[in-house]
Amino acid sequence: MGINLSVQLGKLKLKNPVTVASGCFGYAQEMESVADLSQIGAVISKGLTLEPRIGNPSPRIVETPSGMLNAIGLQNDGVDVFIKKKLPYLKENNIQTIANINGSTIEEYEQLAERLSGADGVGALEVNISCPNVKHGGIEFGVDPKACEEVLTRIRKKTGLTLIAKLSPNVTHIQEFAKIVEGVGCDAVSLVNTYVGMAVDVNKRKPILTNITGGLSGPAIRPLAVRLTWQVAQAVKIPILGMGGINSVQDALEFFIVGATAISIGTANFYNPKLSAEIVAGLEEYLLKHNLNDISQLTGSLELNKK
Amino acid sequence: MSQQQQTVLISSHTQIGEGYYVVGVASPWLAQASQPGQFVMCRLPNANLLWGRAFSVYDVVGDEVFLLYKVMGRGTSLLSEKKVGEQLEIIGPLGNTFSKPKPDQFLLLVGGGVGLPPLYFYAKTYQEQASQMRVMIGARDKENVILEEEFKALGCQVEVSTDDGSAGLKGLVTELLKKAIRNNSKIKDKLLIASCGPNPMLKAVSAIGIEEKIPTEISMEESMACGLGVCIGCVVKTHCSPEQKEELKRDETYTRLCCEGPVLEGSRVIWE
Ligand SMILES: Cc1cc2nc3c(=O)[nH]c(=O)nc-3n(C[C@H](O)[C@H](O)[C@H](O)COP(=O)(O)OP(=O)(O)OC[C@H]3O[C@@H](n4cnc5c(N)ncnc54)[C@H](O)[C@@H]3O)c2cc1C
Ligand SMILES: Cc1cc2nc3c(=O)[nH]c(=O)nc-3n(C[C@H](O)[C@H](O)[C@H](O)COP(=O)(O)O)c2cc1C
Ligand code: FES
Repeated sequence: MGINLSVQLGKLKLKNPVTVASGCFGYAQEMESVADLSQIGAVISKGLTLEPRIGNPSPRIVETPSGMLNAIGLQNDGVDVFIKKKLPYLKENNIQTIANINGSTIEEYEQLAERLSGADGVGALEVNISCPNVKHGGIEFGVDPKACEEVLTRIRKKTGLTLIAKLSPNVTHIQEFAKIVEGVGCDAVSLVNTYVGMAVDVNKRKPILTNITGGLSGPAIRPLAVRLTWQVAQAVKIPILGMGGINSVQDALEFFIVGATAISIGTANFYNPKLSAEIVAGLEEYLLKHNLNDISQLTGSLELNKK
Repeated sequence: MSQQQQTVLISSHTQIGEGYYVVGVASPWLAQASQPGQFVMCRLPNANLLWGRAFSVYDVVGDEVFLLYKVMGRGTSLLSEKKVGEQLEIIGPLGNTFSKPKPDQFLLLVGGGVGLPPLYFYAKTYQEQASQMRVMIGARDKENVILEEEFKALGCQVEVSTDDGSAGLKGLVTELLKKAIRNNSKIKDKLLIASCGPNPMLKAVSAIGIEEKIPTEISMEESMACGLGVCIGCVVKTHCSPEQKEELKRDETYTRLCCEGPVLEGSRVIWE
């Protein structure tokens, strides 16, 4: 009996459900000597913008208990350089690629969607409406339901690619946003992006990050992310790409069981580049042991205690 | 040459001063691949610390690679308790290297504290030119002067300065550098400066290099989460290269120290 690990996000077929998260794996080439790229379901690119972005001054990152804060500020060389210089490598190596897009205005998101839809080798778009570290756009679209609906509606009209909306956890009712995502015709929803946090240098009495605040990621946020994934799974029918602090096979399983169709590994790539391959192997082993033959049987298999 | 992730065994571990340690690890791959200026990300298994810690390659002997570190916080303090035979997770070698000196060039190596280990590996790698190397060690006090004898043993000339005058010249190491440049004014076009240490020192050394028109390579530090070039956390502001200018449509950029550095031409850095 073969085990099926492949999953479907809209039109996009992934050979396995283990992806690497935006901003945590570069454009894959950087990781070729330390990770097994052939084992990864999809690589989600670093956040792309229409024009090159310089990003925030250092310090941009700080280690925190079981996690880290980052305020990179979306440093990237812009979508044109991505298409010209990064995409060919991904294509040549048969790496399923999801482009993560970021705009300051709706028009920028539209143009990004158009340009990437015409590029050879992009399998899907992940719309980042949840970046906490840039002044305009980003998270504004992720915490205001009206703005969220408008930007996603307009992007949907510009692309036939699988469209994934990435939600911010920095809201009171995430289900409301997930329903908007589903309502405007997005194919899938991804969550979570980072939680806004802060760290202080008590000797200098100054914020450690130049940006003052940053996004918290890593194992510290995992229980929060699992809970939001579970809530969203109850609110919508579209597939969920779940993430937040995944650090082991066990952690990945939690996300599937509460309702994720696929998962993404972020911060853990920084110190364990082989984790995605380990999780792919671990999922297979788990399914075998539990007499399951398809990863989809695991998705949403949470059993609640009877009242 | 590209990097690898490996679990390695500690082969030796010695305290060499107040808070200073040298740890040796057995790794034929790392020993063979490491170049002067490069570093490793070193993680302690089961230590409940997220990131690896960056340490420069200090020395290579046979299949053994040595790191010299100072206890600063939790990571280095836990590392100092590790015994021979225990494991470390290493990713490396990472980053770029100091330039290979031309046979007729004279090296002025300026270092402070844990900036000295990569300069030692640099000097040792080109030891046949040691008589053309002058090492200037800057420290707060006598207790923080490290590697003086080791550099001498390579055949380099060594000078020391301390803030409190407890060893060598009382004052800044940049005074030693200025003097060395004056004393070698006849061969100024053959001089090459390489420096690693705290940022204020690197900034002053770079300024001297620019003023005297001497090529100056500095090795810098920033917090690093990955060491692989993917988190974009470890940046310093630099002037754009001509190609970058065209591609990015601006004059300045943030450069990742872990892969585009840690060694940068001093004149490229914009001090923030
Ligand atoms: C390229 C490079 C080469 C280095 N080479 C050496 C070396 O050969 N010997 C040596 O003793 N030290 C070296 N360092 C500095 C060393 O990485 C830090 O002292 C160490 O990370 C401190 O960790 P900690 O947990 O003890 O301290 P903590 O202060 O508890 O560290 C907290 C966090 O801040 C980061 N951090 C703190 N200080 C620094 C720093 N100066 N540079 C980078 N990250 C920092 C740590 O990685 C950690 O994530 C190097 C740093 C870099 C970037
Ligand atoms: C350094 C860093 C950079 C990130 N950059 C982006 C980005 O450009 N776009 C985006 O949508 N998410 C970005 N993220 C968020 C991650 O993709 C992920 O949603 C989050 O870190 C939670 O997962 P984790 O805990 O496994 O890291 C970034 C995270 C980190 C740590
Ligand atoms: S440490 Fe992550 S990019 Fe340099």
